[in-house]
Amino acid sequence: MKTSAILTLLLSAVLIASCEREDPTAPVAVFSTPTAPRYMFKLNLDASGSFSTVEGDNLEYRWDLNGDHLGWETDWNSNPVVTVQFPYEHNGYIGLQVRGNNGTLTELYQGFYTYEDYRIQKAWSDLEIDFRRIDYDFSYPDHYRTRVWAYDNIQLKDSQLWYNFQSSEERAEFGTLVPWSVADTLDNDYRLPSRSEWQQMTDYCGGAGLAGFNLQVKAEHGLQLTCPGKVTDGQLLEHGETGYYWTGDEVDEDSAWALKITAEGDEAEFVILDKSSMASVRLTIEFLYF
Amino acid sequence: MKKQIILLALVFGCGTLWSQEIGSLGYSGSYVYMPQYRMHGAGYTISIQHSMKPWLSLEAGGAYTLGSRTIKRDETVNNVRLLDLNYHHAAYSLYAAPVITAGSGRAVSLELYGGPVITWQSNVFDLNRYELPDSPDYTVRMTDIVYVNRVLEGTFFGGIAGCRVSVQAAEKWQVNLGVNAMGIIKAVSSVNVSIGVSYCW
Repeated sequence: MKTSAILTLLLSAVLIASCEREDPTAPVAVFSTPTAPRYMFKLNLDASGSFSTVEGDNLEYRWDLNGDHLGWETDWNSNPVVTVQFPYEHNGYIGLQVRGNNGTLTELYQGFYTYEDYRIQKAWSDLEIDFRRIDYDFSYPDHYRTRVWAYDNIQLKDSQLWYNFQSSEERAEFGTLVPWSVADTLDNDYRLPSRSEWQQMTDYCGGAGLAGFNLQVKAEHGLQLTCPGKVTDGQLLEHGETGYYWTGDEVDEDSAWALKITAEGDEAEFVILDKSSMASVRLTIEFLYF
Repeated sequence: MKKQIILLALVFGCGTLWSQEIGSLGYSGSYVYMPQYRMHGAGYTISIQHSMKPWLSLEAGGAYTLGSRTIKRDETVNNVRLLDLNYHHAAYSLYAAPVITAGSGRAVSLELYGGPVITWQSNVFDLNRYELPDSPDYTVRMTDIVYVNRVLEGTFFGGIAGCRVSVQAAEKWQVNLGVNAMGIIKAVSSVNVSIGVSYCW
């Protein structure tokens, strides 16, 4: 009797002592956006800074993109980066859940503010057909900078030297396609944006990977570029599919750089066009205040 | 509410056994170790025994234990400062067990016991506590400290087995040194080392 009781005691003690030891832990959830969020602009939510403290743990991610805490707008995915159209006009929350192999979860909600400081007004220029301009204001530690961009594709009166669309609606939407030599000398104050100025604008619009989409977004604070195509050897090409916008930077005597966007793609890229090709024009000017 | 029910059950159980002819009432304090989570803590137990034969008794008892553990990390990984992990445990337990006594009536006796346990436990396990890196102005957070935990709370069942050495200290008083293991299914198990006194009548 005593022997069996002692054995029971020892067995119990051994069972408890041999319980698997564990230090429960959960993944570290971190996410950020490489660029500032802007309403309706596409944006990368990047959770690649998340990690597990358990060696060999594979993480999965899912997102509450509208921040309502009611459901998850994405399924579990091993890709830490998700591209979304930013849904908030002013501010709102976005949530992330990170899951490790053992099922432990970490949840992180962060708020995001949009900050838009812009004005849209009539541009007073030398051109016969007026265009609107959008002024973006930026403040820096030692100065303020206002970048002014044409808010419409430049329109010119009919001429053999450039291409105008037939209907007034098309002209209003697509503007006039002009050769580089014309585009470069349209106005005394407003000028063709340089490559670096277009680059600044693409950076403002989420970087080269997303700017092609964001430059076309029908949001008031966006440039709302269109895709008129281009005219080469007298033929209108890629109409409705692609937009080519001249830069002020020449490649050589015969060609110059242009920004290319596509209606279906998110990317924006610089391409070389023959100066005799006809492409779209947005003009720019910049002011500095100290 | 569960705590009150357990307390009432304990009072009724003790009262019933108290009314028996031969028995003892014990109180012991214990050091508690929970091997699964490596928590340490302390607790106390009140028990009452009813002697049926010189070598056999029935014991019922109630215990309260508290335990905790902190793992300091204080390291920075990917610009995230890992702070620490914390474990907290609290439990009210009731058990009933037959007790076999060796050396009954002598100055030193040995008791072996084992039986079922019902316990109400509240466990909070920090799964992570970390401080996020600085963020751009357009990102706002309620706090930079992210706290992830798992709460395990409820009523659980298990078993207890243990032994104690009792030394006759006075005519009706004994001093006990004991060790027991409490295995709880789906919750936190523990090993206890205890010292206590008991009053016999």
